[in-house]
Amino acid sequence: MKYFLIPLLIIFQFCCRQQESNNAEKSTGKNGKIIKSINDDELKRIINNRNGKILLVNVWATWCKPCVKEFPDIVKITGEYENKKMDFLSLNVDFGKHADSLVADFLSRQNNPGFMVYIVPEKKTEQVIELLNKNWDGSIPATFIYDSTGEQKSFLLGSQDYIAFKKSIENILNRKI
Amino acid sequence: MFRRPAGLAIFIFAFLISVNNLNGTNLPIRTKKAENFSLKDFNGKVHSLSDYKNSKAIVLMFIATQCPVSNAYNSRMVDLYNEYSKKNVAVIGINSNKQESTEEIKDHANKYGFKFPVLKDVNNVVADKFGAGHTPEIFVLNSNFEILYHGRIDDSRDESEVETRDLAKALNEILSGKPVSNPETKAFGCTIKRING
Repeated sequence: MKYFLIPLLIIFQFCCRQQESNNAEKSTGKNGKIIKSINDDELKRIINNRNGKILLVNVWATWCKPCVKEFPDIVKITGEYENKKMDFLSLNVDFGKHADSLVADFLSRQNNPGFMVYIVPEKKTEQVIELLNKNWDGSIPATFIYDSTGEQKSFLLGSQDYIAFKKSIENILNRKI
Repeated sequence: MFRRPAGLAIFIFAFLISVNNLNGTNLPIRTKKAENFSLKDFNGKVHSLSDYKNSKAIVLMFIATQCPVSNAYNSRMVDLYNEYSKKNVAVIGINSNKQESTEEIKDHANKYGFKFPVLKDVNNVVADKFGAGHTPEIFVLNSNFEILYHGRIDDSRDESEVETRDLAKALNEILSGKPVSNPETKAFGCTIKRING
C-alpha cells in the first residue's frame, strides 16, 4: 500500500505547487514574467545566491516619474551585463490589486524588456526596505549593487543614467575581494 | 512631558546622526531634535516652528501636489487635522519639491480642502535639516522640538486596506503621556525633488 501512496503524494504535491506558481506569475512576452509577490526569504536567497556574479537590484514603480525616466537605462545596462557577470533583480512597488496589470502595461510600452519583475506586497514594505538597507527611507527609485560575495557595495538613490550605472558596476567588478 | 521650554535657547542642540554612506549616494542626515525654522505658507504668511511650541504635539507632513502616494493620503490628512487639532495638536504641511510652485500648492490645498497650513520650503532647506527624503513623510515633535515619531501615516495607500494607523497611534500615545511604542516606520514614496537633485 505504502508503495502506492508515496508516488501519489509526490504527484499531488507537484500539482499543487504548479497551481500556486501559475497563480503568481504573468507572462509579459519574450522571457519576461511578473511574479506577483516576493517574500523576505526569497529576496535573501537571491541576494546570497551569487555564483560568482554581482547583483543589481532596482526598486521602482509605474507611478514614480524618476523611475520611469531611468527605466530605459536600466534595460540597456542590464542587457549589457546580465548573464555574463551580473544578475538583475527588478522589484516593483506598485500598490493595489491591479499592480500586475499596471506593470504589464508599462512593460508592454517599454517593448517588454524580457526580465523578471517581482512585485513587493505593500504589507511587506518595511521588511524589504530593512533588508535592502536599514538606512534607506523608502524613497524611489533606488538601486543596490552587491558584489559576488553578496555584500552590498553601492546604493544609488534617485534617478540615475546609463553612465552612473556603468561606473558603479565596473567599480565593483574591478574591485579585488 | 510637554513642559514649556523655560525661555532659554532651545535650539542649541540639534545633534545630528550621520547616516552610513555607501558608494554613489548621500543619504539624508536624520536629526533627533529640530531647530526652529520659518517658512511662508501659500498666502505669504510666515510660520515659525516656535509659533506652535504650546501645542501638545507638532505634526510636520512633507507632502507633494504631484506625487500619487502623497495624493492618496489627502483625505486622511484632512481627517487627521480635524481629529487632532481639537486636541491641541498642530498639523502643518511642508512642500519642498522644487518644481511645485506656491500657486500650485495653493490650488492643490483648496481642491482637497486642506485646513492646515501648507508651507513652501524654498530650496528644500527644511527638508535637508530634517533629512526628509520622500513624500508623504511625517515627523512628530514635542514642545521641545524633539522628534518623537518619524515615518508613515499608516500601512496602506489604499485606505480600505489599512491595518495599522501608525501616526494616529503615536499621537494617541503622546497625548496620553506615554512613550511612542514604534517611533520609526518606513514606506515607499516619491523622492523629494531637491534643487541639487
